[in-house]
Amino acid sequence: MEPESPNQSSRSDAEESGEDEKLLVQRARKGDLEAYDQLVHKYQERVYGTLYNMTANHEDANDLTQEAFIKAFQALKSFKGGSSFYTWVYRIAVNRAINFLKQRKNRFQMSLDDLDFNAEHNPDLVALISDKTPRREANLAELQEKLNAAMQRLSEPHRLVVTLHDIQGSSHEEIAEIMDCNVGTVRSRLFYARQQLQGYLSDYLK
Amino acid sequence: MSNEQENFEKLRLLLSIKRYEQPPPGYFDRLSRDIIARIRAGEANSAIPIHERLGWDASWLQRIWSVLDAKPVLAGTLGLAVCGLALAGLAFNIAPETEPVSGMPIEQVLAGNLPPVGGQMIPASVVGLSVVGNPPIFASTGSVMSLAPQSAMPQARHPYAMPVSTGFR
Repeated sequence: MEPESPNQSSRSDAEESGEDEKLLVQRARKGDLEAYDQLVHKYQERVYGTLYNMTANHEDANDLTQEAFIKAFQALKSFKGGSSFYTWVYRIAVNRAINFLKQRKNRFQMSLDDLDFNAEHNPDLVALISDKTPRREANLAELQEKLNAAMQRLSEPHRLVVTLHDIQGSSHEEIAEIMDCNVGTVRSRLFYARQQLQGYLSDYLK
Repeated sequence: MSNEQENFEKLRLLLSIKRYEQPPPGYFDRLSRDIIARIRAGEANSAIPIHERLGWDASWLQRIWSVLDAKPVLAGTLGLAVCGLALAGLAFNIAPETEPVSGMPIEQVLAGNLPPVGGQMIPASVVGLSVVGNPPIFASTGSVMSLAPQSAMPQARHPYAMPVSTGFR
């Protein structure tokens, strides 16, 4: 018997994972919390990451992530399966985040997560703070703070597009589905958001 | 354009810092536990009857609740009856307190005829009123009707006479 090609293998893995997910969703719809726990485990990091990058505050992101998953569980019966569970739960999370950010406008405070130890060993980042940056004294922590402050100056849809595409690595199509808009809108928002960020961070990009 | 693209590359490199931002160690283990615990707590809470959640000590209410819970048709009928009563109460409340004199045309009242009693009109003369020239009876308010001849009335405005209003209070 011939071994499977990598493409075939990865496709069947994806299909299998999709089937597994459908089963987990079906079980969770019937109230199986163990199945829902597995779904939470699978997506919590990405959902938290998005909400953290949207809010720049660990506590807010934590609350929003919990609320999004709880809301998703309560609304599971209305999930028709037209999109993936991941897109659906993301949409719930993002909508909650946007509503939250509208209410929070005047009481914003950053509460940033620590940078991973590995950041200091990333040659590109090291080069960015030592060679390419005119402000040599800039360190990673300062860059992190400036970057988050610049992100917070973007409007919510622009921040979301940058977060999903440039930080989380989602495709334009996925983002369009999550944001319920077309791909052209995603591209134009991404371009505009990058231009804005470039202006805010010009000191660090020369 | 290529410069812009290059700048975007630098920006993307800068944005990659955010991928290194990590929550405290063990956070994601706690997060999923907290989510499931909150869902369980929410389910348990919704399983507790509302009167228990509010701390009411009302066994009679509990019995009624259990009867209504078991018989949805009865609950529906009761609900309809309550709605009907509420609507009837509302209708009584907004109905005008004073009705027109037995539905008689005002011309007849002015002509001296009193409202019918037992289906028969009472001519004004029967009750001792003389009908000469202008009708002697006039309406002061909707509820107060003077039977005295106009000439017997003082010239000043009757203390109880008020303009007739057709609007609701």
